Amino acid sequence: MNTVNRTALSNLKQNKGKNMLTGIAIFLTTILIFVIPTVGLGTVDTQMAAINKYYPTFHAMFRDVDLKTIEELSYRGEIETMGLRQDPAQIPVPDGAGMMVYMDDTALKLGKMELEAGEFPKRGNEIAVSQGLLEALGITAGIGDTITLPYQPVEQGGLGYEKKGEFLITGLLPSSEEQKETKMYSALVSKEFMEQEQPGESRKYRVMFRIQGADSMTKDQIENVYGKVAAELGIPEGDIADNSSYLMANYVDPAFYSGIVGILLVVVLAGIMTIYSIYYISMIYKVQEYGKIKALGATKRQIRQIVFREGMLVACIAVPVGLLAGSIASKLGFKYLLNAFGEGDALGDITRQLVECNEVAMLKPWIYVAAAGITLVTVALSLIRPMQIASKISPVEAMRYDGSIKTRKKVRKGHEEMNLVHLTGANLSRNKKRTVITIITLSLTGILFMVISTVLSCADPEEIARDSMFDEFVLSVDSSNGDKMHPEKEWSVISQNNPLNDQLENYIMSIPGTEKVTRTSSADADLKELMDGDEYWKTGIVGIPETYAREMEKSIVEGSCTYEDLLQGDKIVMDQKMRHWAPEFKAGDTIHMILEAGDKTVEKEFTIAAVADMPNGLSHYNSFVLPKAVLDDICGLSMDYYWSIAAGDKEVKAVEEQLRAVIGENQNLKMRTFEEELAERTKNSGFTSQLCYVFMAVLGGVGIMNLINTMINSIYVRRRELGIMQAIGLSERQLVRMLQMEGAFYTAGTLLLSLGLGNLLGYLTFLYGKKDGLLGIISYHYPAVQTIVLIAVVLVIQLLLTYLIMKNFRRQSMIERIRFSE
Amino acid sequence: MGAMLLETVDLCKYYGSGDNLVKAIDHTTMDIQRGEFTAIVGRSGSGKSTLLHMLGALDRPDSGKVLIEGKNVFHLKDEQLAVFRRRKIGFIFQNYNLIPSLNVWENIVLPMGLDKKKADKSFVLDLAERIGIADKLKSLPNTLSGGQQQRVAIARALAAKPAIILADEPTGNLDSKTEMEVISLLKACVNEYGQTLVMITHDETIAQMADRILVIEDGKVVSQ
Amino acid sequence: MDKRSHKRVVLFIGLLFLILLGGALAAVRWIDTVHTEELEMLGQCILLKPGTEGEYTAAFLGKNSVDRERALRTGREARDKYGYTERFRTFSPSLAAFLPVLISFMLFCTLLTGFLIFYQQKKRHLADIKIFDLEDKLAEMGEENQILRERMAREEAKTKTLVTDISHQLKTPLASLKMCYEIADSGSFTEEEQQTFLRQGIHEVNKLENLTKALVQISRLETNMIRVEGKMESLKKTIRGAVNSVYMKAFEKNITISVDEFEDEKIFQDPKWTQEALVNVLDNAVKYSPPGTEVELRVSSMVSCCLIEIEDQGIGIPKEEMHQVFQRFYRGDRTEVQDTEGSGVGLYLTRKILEDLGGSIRIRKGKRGSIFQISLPKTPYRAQK
Repeated sequence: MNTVNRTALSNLKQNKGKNMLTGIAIFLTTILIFVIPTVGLGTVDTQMAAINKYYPTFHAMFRDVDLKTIEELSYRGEIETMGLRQDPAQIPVPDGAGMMVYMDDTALKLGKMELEAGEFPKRGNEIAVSQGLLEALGITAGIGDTITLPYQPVEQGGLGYEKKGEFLITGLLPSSEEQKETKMYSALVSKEFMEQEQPGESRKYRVMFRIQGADSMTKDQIENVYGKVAAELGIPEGDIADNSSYLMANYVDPAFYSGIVGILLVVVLAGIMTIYSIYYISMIYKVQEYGKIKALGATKRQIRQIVFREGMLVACIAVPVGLLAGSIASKLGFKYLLNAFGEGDALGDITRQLVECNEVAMLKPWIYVAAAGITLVTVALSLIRPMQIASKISPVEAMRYDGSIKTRKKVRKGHEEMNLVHLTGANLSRNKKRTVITIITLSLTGILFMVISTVLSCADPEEIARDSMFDEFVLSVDSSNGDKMHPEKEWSVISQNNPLNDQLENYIMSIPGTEKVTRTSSADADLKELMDGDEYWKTGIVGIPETYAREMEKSIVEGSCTYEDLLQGDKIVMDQKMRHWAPEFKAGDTIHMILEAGDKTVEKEFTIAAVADMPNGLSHYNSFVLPKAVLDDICGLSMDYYWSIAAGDKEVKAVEEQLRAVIGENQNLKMRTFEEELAERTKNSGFTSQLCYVFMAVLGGVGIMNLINTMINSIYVRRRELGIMQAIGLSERQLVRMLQMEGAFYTAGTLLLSLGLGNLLGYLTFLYGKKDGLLGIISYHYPAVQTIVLIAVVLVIQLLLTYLIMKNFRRQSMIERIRFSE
Repeated sequence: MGAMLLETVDLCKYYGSGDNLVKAIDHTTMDIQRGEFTAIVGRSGSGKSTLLHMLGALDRPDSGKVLIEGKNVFHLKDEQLAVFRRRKIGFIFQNYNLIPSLNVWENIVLPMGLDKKKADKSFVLDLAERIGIADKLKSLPNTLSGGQQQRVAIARALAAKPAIILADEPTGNLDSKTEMEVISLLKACVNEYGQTLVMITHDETIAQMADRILVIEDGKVVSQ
Repeated sequence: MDKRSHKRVVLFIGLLFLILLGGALAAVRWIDTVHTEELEMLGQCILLKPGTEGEYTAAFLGKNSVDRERALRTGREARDKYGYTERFRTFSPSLAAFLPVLISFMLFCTLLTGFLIFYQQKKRHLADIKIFDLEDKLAEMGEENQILRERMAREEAKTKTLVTDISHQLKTPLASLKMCYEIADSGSFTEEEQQTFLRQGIHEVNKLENLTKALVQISRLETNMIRVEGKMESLKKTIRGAVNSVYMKAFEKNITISVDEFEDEKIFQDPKWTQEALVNVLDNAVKYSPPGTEVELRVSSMVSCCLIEIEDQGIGIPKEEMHQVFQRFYRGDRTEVQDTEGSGVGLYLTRKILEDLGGSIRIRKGKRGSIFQISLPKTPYRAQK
C-alpha cells in the first residue's frame, strides 16, 4: 500500500473518537436521505398499483360513436388503447331492466370485467349472465345450460318488439348488492349476436380508451388531450364521459414531489453542516501533525489526499450500514403507514395486500445509488475546506498552531476582582461569533421542534371532530353532482322527493334514546359575480335552523348581523373561506345567485350582511348561510340535507343500529357517526405526529453530534490553558463548576431561543393554519409536554457531556497537559 | 541562613515501563533554603523540570516525600492541595503562561480570585509599576511581546505574595538583554518581599546569578 | 515510479482501445438497427395492404416513384392529422441505437484530451524538479567551499595570537632583566650577590605589592560596605566618574575605553558605591585585557531598569568559573590571573553593591573576552535582608 494510503489508514485507527462521531452523523444522514424518497415514492407507486387494481382503468369514454369515427380514432397517436362496447338489446326484468352488452377483449380488460366462473361468450348465442339476473327472471340454470330469454333490440327511438332467443350460458358474472337493489342487470353477448341485432350503418358504439403517455400528465392535461381529439373528430362534449374517480385517484399532487425534494434538501444541509463542522474543527487536532509531515517532505497534494481518503474511508463504512438500516426502516415504516387506512376501505385492503405480497417494488436500486451518491458527495464537499487548510499550513505555523483564533481585540475592559463567574464569562466571550453560531444552530432544531409540536398539539382530534359534528350522528343525503353515469343521484332530482321528511323525523324521534333532531337545508347555487372559466362559480348555501343562531352569530368576524336580520330574506352571511377565491367580497356587497330548486332555478339578490368563520358542523363546508326557513321558502321545496341527531350516552349504540337500518333501506341517505369521525381524526393526527417526531428525533441526532463536537473541541483547544489554571490553583471542583457554567450558558441560550422564538413561530403557524383550515385546527393548545421533554433532553445532554469530559480530563495529568500539548 | 523551606526525601518518579522505563527522578534528596535564590541546572532530559513539578506539587511521585514547610504535601487531598498551591506557591512557566481571554490585570489577580480573596489593589498596582506593565493593564496577552508576557507572569506569581516562587526556564524565549532584565527583576522582587526563588535553567549564565546552584544529571542531584 | 507509471499508461491505452472497439460495435449495431427498422416498416405496410408488395418494396428500398418533397409533405400532414406529435410517437429504435455510438465517441475524445493534458503537466513537473535538484547541488558545493576558506582564516588568526602572546611574555622578563643589569652595572656588589639580590628583590616586591592590595581591600570590606543608600541620580555622571577612574591605567596599557552614546536617565543608585562597583568591573576588564584592545561600555534603557554592558577583549572567564568569580577572594587557577595583581575581592564587592540596590550582574562570553551585564533599577528598591 502506498504511503499516503497507509497514513490515512493509521490516522483512521488513531482518531477513533472523532471518526465515530462522523460515522454516526453520516449514518443518520444516509438513513434519512434513503428513507424519505423510498417511502414517499413507494407510497405513490403502491397507491397507483392499488388504484389500477381496483378501478376500471380507462381514462374516458366516448358515447354514440360510429364505425368510421372509430376507425379514425384507432389511427390517432394520442390513443393508447381502446375498447368497444355496444348494447344491442334490453331484457325485460320485473321492476327493473337487463342490458345485453357486447364488449370486445380490450373493453373487457379496461372495464375490469371478471367472471365468477366459465368463459366469456365468443360466438353465436353464447351468453354470460349473473345469478341475480337468473333469479329475477325465475330461471334456474348453470354453465352449459341453454336458456330462453326475451329481449328487445335497441332502436333509434327506443326499444323494438320483444323477441325470444335461445342462449347458451358459457360464463357467470358476479352479482353485486347494488344490482339487486337497483334491479339493473347486465349480460354479456357475443359479437356475432350484436352485429346480428344491430344494423351496421346506424350502429353506435361506446369507446373506452386510455391516453398515451398519461403517466407523466396531470388530470387536466389528460382531459385536454381527449377533449381535443373529440373536437377534431366531431364528437360532442355531451358524449364524453370521464372515469373521474380513476383520474382523481391517479393524480399526484406535484406539490408532493416538491415537498419530498424540500425535505431532502433540509436533511442534506443539516448533514453537510454537521459533517463539515466536525471535520473542520477536528483539523485543529491534526494541524501540527500535518505540519510535521509536511516538514518531512510531503507535498500539498499528498496532504490533501491523506485528509480526503481518511474522510472517505469513514464514509465508505458508514454509508452501506446506513443503507442497510434504511432499507429495514423503510419496510417497517411502510407497514406502519398502512395502518392509516381503515378497515373496510376497499382500496386500503388492496394496498395492504399488495405490500404484503411485495408486488410493488419499494426498494428501488436507483434510490440506493442516489442516496449513496448524495451522501458521498456531501462528505466530499465537507472535506474541501479541511483539505485546503491542511495543505496550506506551513510547517513552522503548524508547530505553533494551537487552535486559537486570531482576535482583533487588543483591549478588554475586564473586572477588578476575578472569580469563577468572570472567568467563565471571559471564556465565552473569547470567540463570540462561534458561541453565537453554535447556539443558533442548536436552536434551529429546537425551534423546528416547538413549531411542529405546537401544530400537532393544536390538532386535538376530539375538538376537531366536535367542530365538524355537534351531535352523535349526522344523517345526510347521498347525492353526486355531475355523475353522468348516475343522473338520478343529482341533488336536484333527489330534492324533489326528499327522503329527509317529517315522516322520517317522527320515526327517528320515536327511537328510544334519541334526544333531538336538528334539521339543516342545503342548496346548490351559481354565483354570478364570480366566474369559473366560462361558467358561473358553483357554490352552496346552507340553511341553518334557529337552534344554531347563536353559534352563527358567535362566529361572525366582519360586519354584524343577527339571525333575525337574516329572516327578512335579502341578507346572507358568507364564510370567510370564500375569500380564498373571491378576496374582494366583503360585508355590504350585493351578490346575485341562481339557486337550483328541484327541477327549476330561482334567481335572487342578496346583500352580504356579515363574514363569519363558521365551524364545519354548522356550514358543512358550504360558503353561504341563510336561515332554513328562508332557504326552503326561496326554493319552494324542503331542502333538508343534513340532520344532526343527538342521543343519550347509554343509548348511542341502539340508536345507531336503528339509523343504519334506515339508511339501509334508502340508498339516497348516508350517515356518519361521531365515533367514526373521532376515530378517523385520532388516527390521522396520531400517525402524522408520530411521523413528525421520528423525523425530528433523527434530525435532532444530527444536531446533537454537532453539539458534542463543539463542546469537546472547545475543551481540547483550551487544555493547556486549563492545565495552567490548575497549576496556579484552580481546584478540580472549581474546574467542574466552570465547565458546568459554560454548559449551562449554552443550555440556557439554546432553550431561550428555542422556546422563545419557537413558541412565537408556533403561535403564528397556528394562526396561519387556522385560517387555512390546516389539519382542522381550531384553537390554541400550548405544547406543555413537549416543552418539558425538550428542556429535559437538553439538560441531560449537557450534564452528561460535562461528566464525560471531566472523566476524560482526569485521565491526563496536569503536567502532561501543559507541557506535552506543544 | 534561613530555615529549610522545601525538602525532598528519597524522591522517585518514573515514566513508562520495561524497556521504555525512564527514571526521571532517581532517589533524590535535596533541600531549598528559605529566602535564597536557588538555581537547578541540567541538560535537557536530566529531570530538572520533573523535580520542579514535584516541588510544586503538580505531579505525584512514585515514591519518596516532598515536604513544604515540614508538611508532606501529598498527604493532602486534591482539593486541599489546590488551595495550598494557590496560597503558597507561585508558578512561572517558560511560555503560554497567560489566559488569552483575560486582560493583563485579570491574569494577575486570577489566583487570588480563585482563592476568593480580595486583591490588594494598591499593592498590585505598585507591583505593576515596578515591573513596567502598568500601562498595559487592560491589554490582551496576544498584543504583548514575549518579554512583556513574562513580566505579567512574574507579576501574577508575586501578586498573591506566596512563600515560594517556582520558575521553569522563564527566559527561554527571550533575547539576552530582556533576559537579564527579567531575571534581575525577579531577584529584586523576591529579595524585597523575602520570598524563596527556585529556578530551572540549562544556561550557566543565568545560574551564576543564583545564591546556590544544584546540578542535576540523570535524575540525581550531583553537586550542591 | 517508472514501472507504476508504465503500468498506468498501458492500462489507459487499453481502456481507450476498448472504448474505440465498443464504439465501432455500437456503430455496426446502429446501422443494423436502421436497416431492420426499415424492413419492419416495409413489412407492416405490406401486411396492412396486401397486393402492394412490389410497389412498397421498391419505394422503401430503392426506386422512389414519387417526388421526395411531396412525399415528405404528405407524411408531415398525416402525422399532424392523427396527432402523432413528439409526445405520442414511439421512440425510434435506431435513434436509441445511435446513442451509444455518440457517447462512446465523446468519451473517447474527452479521455484522449485529458490524457494528453495530464501527460504534458507531468512532464513539466518532472522538469521543474530536475532544475530544483541542480540548483541545490550547486548551492551545496558553494557552501563547502566557504567552509574550507573560513577554516583557513581561523588557523591564520590563531597563529597570530600565539605569536603576539609569546612576544608579550618575553617582553616582561626582558624588561626586568634590563633593570637588573643596570643595578648590577652600578658596581657596588659582587656579581653573585647582585644577581641573587636582584632575583629575590623582585620576587619580594611583587609579593608585597599583592599583599598590600589585598589588605587595602579587606579593610574596605570590614568598614563601610554595609551602608549603601540609594537615590535617583544621573547615570551618566556615575559612568563618567567610573571611566575616569580607570582611564589612566587603560591609557598606560594602550587600551581604549569607549562609551557608546546614550541618553541620560535617573536611576536608583548610591552614586559613590555604584561607581565603585562599575570601577571594579572596568578595572578587571583593563587588567585582563591585552594592550591595544578596546573595552566597550554600552547602555540600554529597558522597561524597568538600565542595562550596562561592559565588553572587553581580554582573556575571558571559563564557564565553570563564572559563578565562582563573584566569590570572596576567588582568583582561580589560571596562570594569567595568578600573574596579574589582584586580590579576588573586586567582583564580590560589585555584586554585593548592586544587589543591595536592586540590580544584578552576570557574565557572558563575548566575542573575544567577556561581557559583563549590569542591571540598575529605575524605581526605588527596599532591601528586606
